[in-house]
Amino acid sequence: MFGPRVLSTPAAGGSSSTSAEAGAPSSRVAGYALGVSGLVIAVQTRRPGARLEYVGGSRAFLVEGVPADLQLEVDWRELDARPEGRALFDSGGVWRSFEVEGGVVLRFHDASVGAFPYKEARLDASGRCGVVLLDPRACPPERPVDPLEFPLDELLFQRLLAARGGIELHAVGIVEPASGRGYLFAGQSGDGKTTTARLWQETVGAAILSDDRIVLRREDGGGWRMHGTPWHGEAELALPTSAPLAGIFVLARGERNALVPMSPARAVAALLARGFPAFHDAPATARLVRRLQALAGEVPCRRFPFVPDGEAVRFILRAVA
Amino acid sequence: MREQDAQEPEAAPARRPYEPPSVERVALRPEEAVLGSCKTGSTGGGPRAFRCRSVATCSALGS
Repeated sequence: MFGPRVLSTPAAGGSSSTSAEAGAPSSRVAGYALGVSGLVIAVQTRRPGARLEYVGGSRAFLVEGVPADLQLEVDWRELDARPEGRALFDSGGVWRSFEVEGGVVLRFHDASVGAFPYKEARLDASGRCGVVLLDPRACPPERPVDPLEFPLDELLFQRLLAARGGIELHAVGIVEPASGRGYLFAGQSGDGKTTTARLWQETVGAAILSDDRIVLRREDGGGWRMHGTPWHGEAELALPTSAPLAGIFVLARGERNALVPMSPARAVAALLARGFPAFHDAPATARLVRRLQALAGEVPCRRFPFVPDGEAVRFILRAVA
Repeated sequence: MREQDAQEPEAAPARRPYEPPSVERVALRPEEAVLGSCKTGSTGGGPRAFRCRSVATCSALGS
């Protein structure tokens, strides 16, 4: 056990301010809290003089004065090049995960720095607290740093969503201005998410919750709600708000606009391919499939081959009227 | 005659035509799902815009 402590949120500290309210790095910043889809991750350091600031995405997602679902303390320590514990997953990129006694460790590497990881996130088994350790050889503590720098912020929220109930999808989330209803357009890279976001903005002035990542969560009273995320796409559209989910469309390039009904099984397969399955965690993947099955059974899901112009927007609006 | 016997028999629900089970291949894109790669060539924050900066500097780039 590595002994993470439960901390108060930065906003509760009294003398601390968040980088959101400061608008720029400040020597008084001791931490920040990030809220996505009603879940909150807070980071804080007790190291004198250290400065934490969020640079991972839209700063509109910084929150204050709310309880954190995951509390992380940030500290600096030289990290061993040799990993401890049992290897769980190698992303093939910057991060790998390991199972250790009492929890999980995510290790982040950059070959330009050296063989040692520049950062570790050590999470306890409860998933509610942990520590982020930065190697001072890579990240000197006198320099401002974002301990949750992408992809750690998104990886941690994915773990929270897996535990608390939620689905993250590659999708653009659109709020139709007249009705306030939310429509989800899911797509892999190149399917037209950013194009769709811009078309809805230009054609009907729709609010875009995100042009790349959307979180879906079931509402307590029934139905599903879609939430914006800070991890935007090329259009850099991200709103920390949400809308009731009224329809799902799987984007595809087409010769003409069309809506093709999908069976629940095909919808689940299409959405899984546009999601973030935990490839190393079979039970978590099974839970994700069950959630997608529930989603596809409750929300209309159709394939949407489209021509990228304003008529695609009017076509959908006529279909859902 | 009992009352229920006097009622018209309900029409049997229409059966859907039988579709034999089939296996379809779905293209997963692990490179998009595991968040293992940096994305370059754009500005601003977020995964699409992550600049793969050297962590040796570890100073904020802003977004």
